[in-house]
Amino acid sequence: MEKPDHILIVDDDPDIRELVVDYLSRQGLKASGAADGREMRRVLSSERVDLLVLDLMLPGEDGISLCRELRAPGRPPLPIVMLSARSDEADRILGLELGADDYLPKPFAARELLARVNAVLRRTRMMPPQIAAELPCSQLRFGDWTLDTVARHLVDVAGTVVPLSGAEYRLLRVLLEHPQRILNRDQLLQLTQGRDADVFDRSIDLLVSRVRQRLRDEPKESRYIKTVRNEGYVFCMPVQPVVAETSS
Amino acid sequence: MSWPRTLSGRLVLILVVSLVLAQALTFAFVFAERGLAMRGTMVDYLAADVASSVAMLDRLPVAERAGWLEKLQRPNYRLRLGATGEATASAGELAQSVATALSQSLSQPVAIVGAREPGVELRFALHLRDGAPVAVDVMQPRLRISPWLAAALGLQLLLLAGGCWVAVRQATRPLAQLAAAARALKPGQPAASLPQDGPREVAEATQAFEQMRQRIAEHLEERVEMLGAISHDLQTPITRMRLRADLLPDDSLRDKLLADLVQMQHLVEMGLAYARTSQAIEEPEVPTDLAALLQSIVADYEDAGQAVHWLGGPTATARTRPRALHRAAGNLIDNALKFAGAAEVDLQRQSGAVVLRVMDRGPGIPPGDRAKVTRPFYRVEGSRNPVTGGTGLGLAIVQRLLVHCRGELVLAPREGGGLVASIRIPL
Repeated sequence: MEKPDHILIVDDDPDIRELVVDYLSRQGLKASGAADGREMRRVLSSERVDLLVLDLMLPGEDGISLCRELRAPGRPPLPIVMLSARSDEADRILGLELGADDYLPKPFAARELLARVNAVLRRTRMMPPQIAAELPCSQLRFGDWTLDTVARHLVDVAGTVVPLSGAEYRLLRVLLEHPQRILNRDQLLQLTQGRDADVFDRSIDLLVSRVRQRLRDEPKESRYIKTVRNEGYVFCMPVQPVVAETSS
Repeated sequence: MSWPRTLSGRLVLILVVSLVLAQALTFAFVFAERGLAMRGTMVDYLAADVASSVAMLDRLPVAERAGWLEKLQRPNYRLRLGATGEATASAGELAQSVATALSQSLSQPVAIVGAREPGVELRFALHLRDGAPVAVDVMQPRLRISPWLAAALGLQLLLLAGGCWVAVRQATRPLAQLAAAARALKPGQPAASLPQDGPREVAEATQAFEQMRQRIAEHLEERVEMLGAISHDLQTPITRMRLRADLLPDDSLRDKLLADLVQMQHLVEMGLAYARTSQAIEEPEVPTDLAALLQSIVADYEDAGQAVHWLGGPTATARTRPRALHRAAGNLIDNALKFAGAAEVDLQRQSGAVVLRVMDRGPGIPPGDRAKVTRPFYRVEGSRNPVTGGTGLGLAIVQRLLVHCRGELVLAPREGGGLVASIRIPL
């Protein structure tokens, strides 16, 4: 029998920790809890952990600094789902840009947490590690455009902000992270699946055409996203990542 | 004339009237003083003059006397021959002094006679050496005012009135500005800053007003923060309750509890969103493609399976805070979905502005409630029930966000029924 995945929950509220551990254990996962960063490191050094559920607000070292530490170069990749009582978008973005794989605002349903945990585990297994864990950067430059990965919008040469929907952003982000590489529809679907996982309803083709429209790109003679018949799409422009120190 | 209504009118009236009165009084004093001085010199000079005239008449033959009278006449007195009536006892101080001076220079008693002729102020009776009676008529002094004096006076009054007006304006204009600022003060909106450079009293009033405005703003912010703090702290117990409910074996009980918790969570989220509108100002203002903004919002709703449709619109770019505007438009769409189940979104260009419109076929908002629906926790009577009803914060959040987006919320009935909620952004 396959060994169950080990989920570590880092939350300072003992009740929430206990309830989550209890629920995940009932769902056939191995779950344990840690109240703060110190306990978390102790568990990580002694046991194999497959996924970390990390609360943003912790006494002492907060979730942000712990996440940063775990994402430091040289550390083994560890999937992280962030939790926070602050459901502000800024926190969500911050969590994801620091390298968290998903974010769940409090209050959450146990079933939703389970779904996220399973989705993140599935996603990180499917993609090779070098694709799964990309370096956090705040801007991606290509052609006439800059994608702001903090504010999740495009900026043109004139400085005009072009907002993107969640699915549009995720698709573009995936394409930009794999330039000159053909991605098939299944890969794109998996990679662009986010929190609002109803993108299934829309075909990837429609999403691509929407992103092309945002980029003011001609479908016939596309400068950015080329269609590869029977295979998928390829982003055909060099991408230059820009890492900004402060991103608010 | 009725008492003016304005402070400036009253002040100008009081100042001008009292200045005119003071001027008139000064003028009268100067006039009287000049008259007195003239008389003093006149008395001495009159006595000597009359003595020489009388000496001449003494030497003239009786027949020629009458012919010389005219030549001896002076602007301020004249001589007349013959008896002149009764001596009077009730003589003034001036008459007494003239009579004394005359009798000294003529070395004879001089009687003061009551005169009834117009222009004659005093009459004195005396005798020539041959005993013939002679009367001296002292004419009323005439003071002439030169025309330039009148002009100078008029000019002076004009200057004074002008000065008054300027002074009064100095005092009352900052008051008018203060009143305008007080009137323009709306909760959640930054007030126009007032000039602090007026006269000290007015500057102090302005400062006091500014402090009051700040206190009100702080008070409002405190209220908002309190709502935010309560909402925030409720999240942890709600999380626990949700997790506990998930562990319940009884399905129907669990579902009811979860439904209640979803409602509580919604309230908490709206409370937090309302409190967080204060942070909108921290987002930088950037030129934003408004059509792309609306399309991206609509796409998110479509992806979530909601009946939100994009009806199109021109390309339009405006300087705004895209995230705050995104949230405001999202709240309007949420409202439409709540009351009508569907929403249509478009973009229009109107005179000097871009208008983002969210339209529905719901019950709309009665005209009497349109101004009130942006108040926190205000709910339109009868249109809400505990199940579909919102928190009464949605439009209040929109209103607060738009303050920072250079936008304005306009609610209007839709042709054929429903509501058009527009965000107007001036270009």
